[in-house]
Amino acid sequence: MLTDWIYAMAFFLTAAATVASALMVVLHRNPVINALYMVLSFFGVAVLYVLLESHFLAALQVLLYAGAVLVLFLIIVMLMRLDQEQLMKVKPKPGKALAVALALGVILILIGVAHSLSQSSSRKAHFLIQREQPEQLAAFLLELGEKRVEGPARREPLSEAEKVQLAKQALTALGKAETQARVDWPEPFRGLGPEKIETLRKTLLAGLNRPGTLAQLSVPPQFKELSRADIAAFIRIAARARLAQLEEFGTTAAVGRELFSRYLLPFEAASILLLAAIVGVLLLARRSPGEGGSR
Amino acid sequence: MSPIVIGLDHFMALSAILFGIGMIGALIRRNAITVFMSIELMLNSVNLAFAAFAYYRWDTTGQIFVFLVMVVAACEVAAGLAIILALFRNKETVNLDELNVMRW
Repeated sequence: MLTDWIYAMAFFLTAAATVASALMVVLHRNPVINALYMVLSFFGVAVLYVLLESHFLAALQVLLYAGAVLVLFLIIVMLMRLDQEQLMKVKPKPGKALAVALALGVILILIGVAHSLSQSSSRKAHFLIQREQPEQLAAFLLELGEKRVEGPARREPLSEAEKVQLAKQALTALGKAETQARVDWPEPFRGLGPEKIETLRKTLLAGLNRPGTLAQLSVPPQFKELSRADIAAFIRIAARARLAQLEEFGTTAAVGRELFSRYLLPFEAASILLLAAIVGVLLLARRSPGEGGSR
Repeated sequence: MSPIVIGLDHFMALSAILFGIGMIGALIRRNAITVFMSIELMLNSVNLAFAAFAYYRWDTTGQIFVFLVMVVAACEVAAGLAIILALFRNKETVNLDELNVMRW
């Protein structure tokens, strides 16, 4: 697939540029050059955020690091008037080889852990969940009789196993509060009430976990009032809510919703930390009264 | 030819390499400002790992963590640079080997 090639090319080019500029930060002797290369490497990370569909983070990265942090570093370096002589006479530390060996060891261990986690198939199911494809879900929705779906749908027809898998993912996602909040239940589900809807969801999920195709899924015995069409509608509603959630991933809306609901306390704590940092920095950077004068 | 599919392990490997480079810098450099930049590189590599996990699990929580790490990093840069500036005012150097006293 062409898109996979383009994605891989973009990843490797950006990764190479990021690593090269990170190396220059570490190896070059002039702190001004270091700061400029650091910003280049931050831009590289911002591009990687875009590849990871984390658009909000990419914007933050450019604003915060490439903007504020670069300016801060450059101002401090230039305030200090470090002359070239003073920079050049700094020799490498004696334990240099040891430090490099240690860092290479850390790199190898981390890569090894990442590799083994992605290789062992038993963990893959639990730890590295196969990424859900919005295109697949959109195709599934079209097949379920949805007239119009947001986003592009996959061209190839879905297999029965894929359909069961997609229905399972949609029903699992429906168990979360943030997905449920998106659903406006039509009749006859509205009359059931939230508890019975949850029971229906769990029963259907258990039914899908048994072998068989989606068409063989029967109406649970405790829900006699529902027809087969209602069950199909239920799965369609779940899939639609899931697709809307997948499409929203990484946007400011998605991050903001989490930040101001479940993570409100850490957010407020961060604001207090910022306040403390402002006061602390003002105290630290102030010249003491006796010192006065210019240097 | 089958296409190269970039997976979580590619991002984790890149994150590990960036972390290692930052670690080398923090360990071998003597200029306090460059050591600081290396620490920023390490924080960035950790953020990249968080964002990669968030993407491959379709879970926004990882992005919240990146956001919080960015806030902490911003505070750390401001406070750390103020400390380095105060040290430079008193000792006229940013060479870490010469900054070996806590008071003078």
